[in-house]
Amino acid sequence: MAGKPVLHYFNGRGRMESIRWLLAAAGVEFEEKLIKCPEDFEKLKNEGLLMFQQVPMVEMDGMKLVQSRAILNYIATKYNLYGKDMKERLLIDMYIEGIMDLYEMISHLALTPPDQTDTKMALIRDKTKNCYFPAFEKVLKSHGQDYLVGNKLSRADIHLVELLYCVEEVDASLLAAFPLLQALKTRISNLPNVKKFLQPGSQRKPPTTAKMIEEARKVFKF
Amino acid sequence: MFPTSQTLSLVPGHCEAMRMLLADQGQSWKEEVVTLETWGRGPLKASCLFEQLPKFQDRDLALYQSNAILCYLDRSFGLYSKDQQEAALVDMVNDGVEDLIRCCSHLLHNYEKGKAQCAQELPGDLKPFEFLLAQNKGGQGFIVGEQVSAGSGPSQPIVSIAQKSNLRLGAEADRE
Repeated sequence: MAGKPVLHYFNGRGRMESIRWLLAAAGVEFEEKLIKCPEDFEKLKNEGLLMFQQVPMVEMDGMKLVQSRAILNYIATKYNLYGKDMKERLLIDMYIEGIMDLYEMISHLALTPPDQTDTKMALIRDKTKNCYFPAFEKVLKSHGQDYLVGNKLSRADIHLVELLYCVEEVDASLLAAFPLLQALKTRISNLPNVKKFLQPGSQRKPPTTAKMIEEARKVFKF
Repeated sequence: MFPTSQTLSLVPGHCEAMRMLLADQGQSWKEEVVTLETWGRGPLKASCLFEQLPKFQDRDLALYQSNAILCYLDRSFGLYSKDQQEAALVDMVNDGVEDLIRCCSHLLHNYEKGKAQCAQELPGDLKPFEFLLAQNKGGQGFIVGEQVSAGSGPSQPIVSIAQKSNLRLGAEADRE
């Protein structure tokens, strides 16, 4: 019988956070082996466990999975969070690509030099208010259902709500004009598995700070 | 099979893998190239899901986001293994390829500065794919499984970009 998935990453959100959210929402317990020093990372590489010499890496079902998108695809398929057919999967794929684009813009804020932060923030605000949030509000309005695709919980809902929380952390006012997105956020947050993940003390990681970036730079040498 | 049209951006970038996939599967398609001027002015931009190209029209279905389009095409052509573990490997290869495409795309914008570094790093970056090929029937087969898969197609643009940039890649480039 397979054990729990084991997540290999540093103690921060980065590219592993969406994986933590999805596993938690699917009700899957997981362990974490945190990479705390360069030697931990070198060991993983030297043991040939990282296909492209990168993390995230998730040990699951006898495999050493790398590439966050591939990992998320596998988890979503395994736990029936990827739509019921090809057309639903396509919609989910389109939505999550957009979600990931905005998510990445926000994640990279912590890496932005201070003199460029204002410009980056202005771009994030513009894209959020005028492109991405209207797109998803329109999807929810078009069918009036509780979930983005197929009237059923899918990874699209989980990833979008994770994004909504991230946006709230940078500027809570951005969600104000989008009632359907707010309602989705509330609904998903009240699902038992998600509610548990949102409680203090869970494996959810706090917002990335400059100090966390500095520590990650030492480990991964970037 | 696909009375499709693609509405493309001016640069080959995100569409090249789609073109190669369609061509490999013997499909015909129509291309509508969008100029920067048309894009800036227009209703087309507002009509796109996230105000981005490429757009792929398959009958009454308008598809956006290049990765979503590629996955849809892969599944339509039966290029994704039904075996979840094999599909996971295909996804890993796809995503590794995409990372490399991103690096090579930067090279096209900044060729002189980036060439030396790319020439140094690319052979090492291609090693995982060489390893996978070697593991599968001693390199005489495909990257994953018994047939052309989603993982093989997207790697083509990397080889062609590298070849156009006169980077020597050795046996990997010749085989692909």
